[in-house]
Amino acid sequence: MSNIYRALTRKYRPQSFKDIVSQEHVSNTLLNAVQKNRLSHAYMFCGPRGVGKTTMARVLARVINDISDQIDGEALNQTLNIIEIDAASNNKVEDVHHLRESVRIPPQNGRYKIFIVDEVHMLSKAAFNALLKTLEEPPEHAIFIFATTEPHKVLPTILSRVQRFDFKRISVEEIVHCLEKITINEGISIDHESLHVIAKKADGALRDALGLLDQAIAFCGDNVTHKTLLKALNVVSSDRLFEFMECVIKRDTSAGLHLINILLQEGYDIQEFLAALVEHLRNLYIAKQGEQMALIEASMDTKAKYFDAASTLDQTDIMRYLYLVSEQQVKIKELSQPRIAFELMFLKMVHLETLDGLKKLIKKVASLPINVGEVETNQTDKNEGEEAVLDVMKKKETEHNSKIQGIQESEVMAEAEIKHEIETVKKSLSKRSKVKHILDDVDLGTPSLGSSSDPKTVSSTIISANHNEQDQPHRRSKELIQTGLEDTTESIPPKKIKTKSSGKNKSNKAKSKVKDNQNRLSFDAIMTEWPIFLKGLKGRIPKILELQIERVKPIGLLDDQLVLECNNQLSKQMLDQQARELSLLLKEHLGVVVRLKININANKTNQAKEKSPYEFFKELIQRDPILKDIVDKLGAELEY
Amino acid sequence: MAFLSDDLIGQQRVKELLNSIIKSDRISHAYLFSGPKGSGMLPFALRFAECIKNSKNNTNIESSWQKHPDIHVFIPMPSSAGSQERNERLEWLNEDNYNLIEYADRPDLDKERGRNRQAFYSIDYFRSEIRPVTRLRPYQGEKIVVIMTKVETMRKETANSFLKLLEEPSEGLLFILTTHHYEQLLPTIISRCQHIAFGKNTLTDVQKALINRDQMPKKKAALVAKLTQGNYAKTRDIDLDFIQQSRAEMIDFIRSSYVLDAIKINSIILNWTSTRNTEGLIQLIELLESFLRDLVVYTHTQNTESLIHEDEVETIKNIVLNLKKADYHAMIDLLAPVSAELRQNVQPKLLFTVLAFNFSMLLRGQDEFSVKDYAFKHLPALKSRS
Repeated sequence: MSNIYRALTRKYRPQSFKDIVSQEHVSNTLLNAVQKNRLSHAYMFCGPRGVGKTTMARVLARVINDISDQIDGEALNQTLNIIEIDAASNNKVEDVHHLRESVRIPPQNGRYKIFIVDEVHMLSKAAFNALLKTLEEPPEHAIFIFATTEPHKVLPTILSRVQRFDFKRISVEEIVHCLEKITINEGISIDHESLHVIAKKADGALRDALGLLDQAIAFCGDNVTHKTLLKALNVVSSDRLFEFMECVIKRDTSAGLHLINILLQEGYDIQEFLAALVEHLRNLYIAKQGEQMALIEASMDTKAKYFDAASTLDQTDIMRYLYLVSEQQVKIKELSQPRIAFELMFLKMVHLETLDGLKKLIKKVASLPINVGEVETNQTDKNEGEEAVLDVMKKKETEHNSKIQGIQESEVMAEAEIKHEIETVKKSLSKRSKVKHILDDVDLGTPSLGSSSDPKTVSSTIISANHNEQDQPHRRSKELIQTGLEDTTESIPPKKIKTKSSGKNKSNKAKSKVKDNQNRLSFDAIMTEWPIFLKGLKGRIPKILELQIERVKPIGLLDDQLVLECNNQLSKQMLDQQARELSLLLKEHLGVVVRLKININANKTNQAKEKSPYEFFKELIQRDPILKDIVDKLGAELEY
Repeated sequence: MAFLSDDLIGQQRVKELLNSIIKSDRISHAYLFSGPKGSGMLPFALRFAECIKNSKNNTNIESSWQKHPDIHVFIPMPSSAGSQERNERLEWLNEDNYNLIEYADRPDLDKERGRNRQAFYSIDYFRSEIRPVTRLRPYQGEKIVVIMTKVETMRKETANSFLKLLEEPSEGLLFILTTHHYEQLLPTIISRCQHIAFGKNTLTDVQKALINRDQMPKKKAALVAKLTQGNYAKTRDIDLDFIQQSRAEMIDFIRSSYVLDAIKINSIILNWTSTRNTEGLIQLIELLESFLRDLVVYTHTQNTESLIHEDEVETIKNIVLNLKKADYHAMIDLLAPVSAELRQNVQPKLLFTVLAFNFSMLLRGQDEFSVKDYAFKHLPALKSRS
């Protein structure tokens, strides 16, 4: 046995209560119970991995039965009075039956028969229930000790029958202290900082710490130095993190991608790197605060480095980076290609607008409404120069877009700013929607793709257009802004209708001039207004009705009754039902009450039937040059 | 030392580490190798096992792991497969340690596609095959070495019943576990092993290996190395024409989803679903993801160096130039749940069609079609979305 090497974790498994690191609250209680002879018949030890649950159970078993400290593991199991069961392998009801049988038999020597059930959370439900009765009132000589990492999976009826002890994680200091003792014992020289690195990586589990130490010793021999240790354990050094953040701040994408590539080739786990990055950002944040540098667990040199690096950064920006990284940390676990996700996260970080830039943008946005107003007056001045105005407005639009886009990148942490921004954006947006409608008026002749008059689509296209312009703004802030915008859009419709109807009235006057009376309309005027009216209907009435009314042709005006002609009985029926609503809409548009009368054109029915969708599409192409362009360039096909 | 020989590719750091472990003679009872796909963990594990048994009596180094009675290799198995199948696979592995033997990579040995079998470590497999081995005594060397690949596929029950064995195995028993997904393992398993992280192979390493080991022409080797991103195991099996063809199809798919050409989309999807199995479709999704990643990278850097699909630079430039508004980030986000849904047997045809529609919106820079308001969200397949 002695010639074969045993891992440190097994060699240094504690043998008595005083050896167990850090779980004083448990060991003291148990020791007192043993001394005062007040042992319970069932214990449950829960806690994270590597904190000494199984060890504590074994120690307790040995102490109760006066077994020598040397006997451990398999040998302990052979002492007849201590039965260690792996519940994960023996999780069936039959196994519990078997256990119950053996509980009845009194111990051969010693006072108690002790059952250590490890990984007890894996017992099946039936097995748990079969155990309940025995667990409540076992024979006097039986003591159960359960150990588990996942107490929440254990039935509450079990939990209520046991004395539960929660083991806590072991602090870094305690691990370091313990490791120091062991290294002296093993005759290994290792510096304090390296021990710190190991203890930190072990994350509160002593077994992990010992495993890491083992690995370090195997790699470096008896003299462990900090540098070789980092290599052996593949710990992300803070230099790398500083390098990474520098790429982000300097917006050097190529260098960043190169760095990521190197990191992966060196075998760093992305998950681990992200965790380290989160801690790095947290340290930067603390350094920025500047008051509690003691909270950073690092050497003085590194602290100074943090202080320098933090001075160039904004507090809110750090928080935003932190948010991005920690969000990715959760997501990346489920992805099949974490590398790509990692790279994309980096790109997002690089293109995150800094708060400084945002403040400038806010100023610009705040000044924007005034400019728009100027444009409006411009337009009224120059009736002829529509195109020029259009150009100006397009410029404004793109400018505006880029500004809103900038805003969208703002983060949760900058919520206050965002709210303020939304206010300004709302204001400018309502102006903007006016502009939009004027633009519609100007642009009526040619149906352009972008100018849909439905407020929701307008705002959503604005959002998505901005959103996709270049960068990926933050989801949350996007939502925030979206809700903000939805508020605005809700408030727009009445305004819009007002502007629209008044605008239309004006244009009616200007265009048709046939109108001698506000209450009377000529048929010609209606004919000119009809396509505009149809366009305005889009989105305000059900799609199916919209399709029907598009096919209808106005043929005459009888007093205040507009005669419409449709192709078949079905559409007549449908239009008749909706006639009232349509005439209301028409009134909104024309400012005059017009009732609708629908007739069927019998001759046309057949003709229309013969027209296949393809032919109809061709006709559409011939009618509309823009559509023709689109078809030529993109090769659009009819879809049906 | 046998370890540093040239037939193991790259991973200088790991080589050093393992060599010094062997030299120091402080061999722990369990090692966990983790790293990306194709970093050669299994060949390293095999070599490590061979070195351990030879470390004391250097008499016959050339005896391979396959003939050695003390080295046992286990791979996750589908529940339907018997141990005969495992032996066939191990023989195949014996021909070349870098051969792919996992069911995930190779559902059938004779390259016949179309069979999907989920392979994992079931509790029965563990009890009937693996545990008996751990009770043996070393016959020839010093230690019984149990190598288990892809331990992340272990069922929860299996992993938990493995814990006790892993913590205190009998003397002369050594476990070497390999995994691609370190983060998916139980922390209790990780804590019981010594963790050795493998890195991605560098492109030059892979290229060199391809030239030396497989006598591949230099130019092709460079291309293959780039396409597989340092996954050497994949390069051996790679069908370059197949990759290029599926990439062409994929670009076609993106183009036709931009113009919403229903007929073409349909025919592409039909072709995919009829010729590929689930794993193949998932590979396709990964290909799509890496291509979109190239698009993002190119938009941001205007730099062709860090692209994966270097030979398609023109297409990438073209797309990026013409579709300035496209939201590639959102497109990639859309891909993530698709692989999971494919595994849950959602109809691939539907998934790809939905993808095409959403792409058409996102390529124009508009929001994707939202499923938020639909009542059929209770379907288990859609739950993973949230």
